[in-house]
Amino acid sequence: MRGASALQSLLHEFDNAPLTIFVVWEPILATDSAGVKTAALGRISDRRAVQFWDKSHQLSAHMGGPASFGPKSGAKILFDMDEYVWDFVAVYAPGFRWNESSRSPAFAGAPVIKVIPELRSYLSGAPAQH
Amino acid sequence: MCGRKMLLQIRQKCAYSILRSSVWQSCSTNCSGGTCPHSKRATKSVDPIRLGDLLRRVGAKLGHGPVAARKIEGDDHFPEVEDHSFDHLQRVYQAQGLQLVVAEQTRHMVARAARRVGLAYAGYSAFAPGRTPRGQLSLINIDRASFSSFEQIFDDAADRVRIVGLFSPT
Repeated sequence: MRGASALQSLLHEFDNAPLTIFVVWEPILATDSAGVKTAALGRISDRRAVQFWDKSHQLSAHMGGPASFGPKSGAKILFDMDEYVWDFVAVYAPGFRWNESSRSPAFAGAPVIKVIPELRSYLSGAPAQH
Repeated sequence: MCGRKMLLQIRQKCAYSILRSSVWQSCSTNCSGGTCPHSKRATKSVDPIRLGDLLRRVGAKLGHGPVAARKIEGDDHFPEVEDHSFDHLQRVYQAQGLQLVVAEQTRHMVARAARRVGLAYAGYSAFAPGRTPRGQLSLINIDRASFSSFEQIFDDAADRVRIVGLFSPT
């Protein structure tokens, strides 16, 4: 939850950047089984965001699970995600299509709150590059 | 109706017969549970107020000693008062007792209604789907809409930088 709030604060800094944000909520803790509530969804208030509820962790599976973000991937993963990809943020450059998901994202890190500075740096340069 | 029967009514109170005083005046049937013969509605046996307690509360309200309540409960005439005075006293206690019972019933009904509203709200909060902030698409359930819904929206925005975040809701 703190990660989502931190991401929202960062998005505020890039108010006019041409971004689309995909926020995917998934059950990780025992208390998550009831689904995602309005209060949680409200953490990301950016109009460019699209929010999803992924009860069966399909996105995590499509990404290849935590194993695909190992040390060789270049992702900055600072905690053991265990079974599913979560508290995670990835940035995909323009032109990237989902069926090319064997390619790594341009930036990936977890937990979100700890990789905000790197994400900020990336976004400061990335929109201008593409 | 004799005072004894009216007292019995307080003991055998039914929400409908007490709240509708005209019914209460004529009702001599035990309405505590089952179907009320007047309203034809199902009634529930309500938490009984013991008659003695009720009369003592009336006595306290009127500034009488507990002996008066005991005498009235037992339909025991006071040796020091005439029969008609005793009947009058009984009627005063019955009227005051009815007021207390009605107030109690009302308090119970309000508390019950508040509990139901609270439970309904809790149920709604627990099971209602979350709402996204204004300006965003509604929440998309990947399980119901299939993963292609995510893929489609992701690819449709291929002309721009896309950020994907995965979070636990709590």
